[in-house]
Amino acid sequence: MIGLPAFLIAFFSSMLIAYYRIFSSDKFHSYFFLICFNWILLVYCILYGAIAIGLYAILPSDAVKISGSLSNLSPWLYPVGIGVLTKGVSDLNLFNVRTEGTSIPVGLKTITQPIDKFFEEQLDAVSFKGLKKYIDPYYVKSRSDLGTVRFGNDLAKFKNFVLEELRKYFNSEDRIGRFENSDAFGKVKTSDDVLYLVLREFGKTIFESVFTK
Amino acid sequence: MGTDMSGVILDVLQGFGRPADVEEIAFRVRTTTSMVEDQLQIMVANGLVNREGNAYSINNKARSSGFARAYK
Repeated sequence: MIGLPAFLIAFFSSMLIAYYRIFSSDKFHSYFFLICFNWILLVYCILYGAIAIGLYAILPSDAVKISGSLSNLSPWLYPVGIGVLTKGVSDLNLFNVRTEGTSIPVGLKTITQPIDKFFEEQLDAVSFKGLKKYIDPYYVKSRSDLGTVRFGNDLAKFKNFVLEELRKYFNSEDRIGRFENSDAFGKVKTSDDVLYLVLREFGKTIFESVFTK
Repeated sequence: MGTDMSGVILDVLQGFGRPADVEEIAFRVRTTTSMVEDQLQIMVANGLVNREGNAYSINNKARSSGFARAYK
């Protein structure tokens, strides 16, 4: 399949995969609601879409094999396959060169690693600013609740309350157990830290079920 | 954990290229503000980090030592 439709299919497939990779990453999954419509994320996805177009143009026509039962659809599936593979191919790393404690990849990753790092740092900054704005009302409410008769400024009581609420809304006892026993949760010094850890670990929906603003 | 967090914090500070607020450092290191504050105090005492009011920056000694490494 040649021509504009094929390039567009490869472009949009790669964009969707790049978008999904950010959504499902450990770093951004819990904060994805803060960046999901941000222009920096869009530029990142468009960049990988452009890389997919380049790969589709230069790779041989049998670079992606479509199985026999789908061969009738293969002219349509081929650019989809190229789009899906783009992120994986761009992470190809032949070997690493170590210098002064840092490791530099040699391969396609030489080009994509600094690009990925740049966009991750930009998205980190966007997430951080968005998080401050989102979570501040919850911080204020929780600090006020901590000072009430119910908790009496006892952070341990507040932490137990949070764990009980988590058990109501989240049915993985293992994950709650790991969270309860984690170093970070054990060392919290303020209610703000507790809220931040719950949002980071369990995401927005669970967070809003446990805390109010 | 202390040594690991020092390396991670130094790499984050190196990436900032400017004095950074402790909340943002904690966000990028993916831990609580209080844990990062405790670690930063140790690092200031060891001369790895400079403190400028409420912001911290990497010391040139740490920058050139190769102590910092990539973080996830």
